[in-house]
Amino acid sequence: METQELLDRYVHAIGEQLPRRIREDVKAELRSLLAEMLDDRARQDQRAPDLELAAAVLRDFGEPDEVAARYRPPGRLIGPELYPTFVLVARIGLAALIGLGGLLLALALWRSEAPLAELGRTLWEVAVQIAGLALMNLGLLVLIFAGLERWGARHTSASASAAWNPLDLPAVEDPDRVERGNLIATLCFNVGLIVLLNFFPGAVAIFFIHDGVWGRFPLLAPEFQTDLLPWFTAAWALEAALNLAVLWQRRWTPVARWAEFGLSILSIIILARALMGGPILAPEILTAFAKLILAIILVIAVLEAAGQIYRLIGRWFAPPPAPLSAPPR
Amino acid sequence: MAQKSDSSPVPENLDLELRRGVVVLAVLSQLQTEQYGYSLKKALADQGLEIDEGTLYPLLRRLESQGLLQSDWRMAEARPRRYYVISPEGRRVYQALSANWRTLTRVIDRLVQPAEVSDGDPGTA
Repeated sequence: METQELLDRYVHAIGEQLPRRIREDVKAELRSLLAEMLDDRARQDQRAPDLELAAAVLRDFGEPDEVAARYRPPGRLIGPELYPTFVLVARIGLAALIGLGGLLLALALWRSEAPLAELGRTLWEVAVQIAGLALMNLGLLVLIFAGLERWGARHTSASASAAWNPLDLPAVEDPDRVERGNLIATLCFNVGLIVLLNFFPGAVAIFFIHDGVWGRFPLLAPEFQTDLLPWFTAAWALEAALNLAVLWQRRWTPVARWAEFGLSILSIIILARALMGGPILAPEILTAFAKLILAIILVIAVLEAAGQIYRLIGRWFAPPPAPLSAPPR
Repeated sequence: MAQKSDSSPVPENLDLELRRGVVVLAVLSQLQTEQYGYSLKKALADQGLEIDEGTLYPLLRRLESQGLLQSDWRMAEARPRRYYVISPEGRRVYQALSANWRTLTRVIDRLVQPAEVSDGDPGTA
């Protein structure tokens, strides 16, 4: 690990605990200050600003949790020591509720014979129930943590700080880094599906031997091939094109991320249409099973799209790194 | 906050309490001219007031958010630096705080002097 990478990991660990409106500005200032400290310490000690010295500077500066706590506005109900734990518990609770909501939604969709218009109402009802439970859960957590804050059951970080080692800081994940293996695998899968279902639909079949002769029972319902397959093909082709473009650019750009979100919405619409539409597989019992799988995939797609739009909006409102945006004097 | 000698008999929390309010006055006094965080820390240390970075830098931001300081980034130097300087509002507050400080030190001097004399240890504050 290089010295700069260690400093980046440290600044990132602090920034993750700061409110979004001040995060980039504080991170930029910390980068500048830490580099200044490191250079000065190296001059004083007459040695190179190596990894060991950088770790010593960071130890002096303080554990990321403590430093972040000093930058946060003073909490009224939950203080800086308990706040990170509160956020962690609140997130776990919210994730559990969303998972539960997703499961309920999948079951409701699977058992529903209602038309497409009903899907919106079901989604809305589940969302309202989950939002109500989430608010109640949050209120309860605030009360518990405010009680802990008030009556002093806070963790003592002295021993933890003494044992803290900057070299153990986790690497900074780059959200725009291209995972080539993942993209190539998805690309191959999409192209394979397009070729198989469009050019060799008969191959999707149950094969059997009867009286020593091979026979097959086609699985794809004709309605699926005429009504839905063109839509699925379009979505898979667009996703393959997007993956190719990202591989070509070697990085996820904002435009590519918005395109990814658009494709997620398209997939949700197609999946909902398939779920509420006619048969997918020839035997009816298999169609019911296929629709259960589609309902689960639909829920996952909705959660993914929600995560994508949350991150996109977050980036949209996040201020750019301060030193790069400041006009030179 | 401010670093103290290990040999001091004063419990650390009392020492911190004593210095907490003084740090704001000290920072405002040194920001009559522009300084970036690290140069300010060194300027204070050179004059005998050691303040650790974890206290000083968040304090600068807090004073700026209260309108007592102004800051801007400079890109032309070896690395980007954020410079702070006292604002017109900060100057007014600084003058008022300085006056309060002088009054307070006079009062406290009068209060602590007899005790120090009786302990046979005059002259240290």
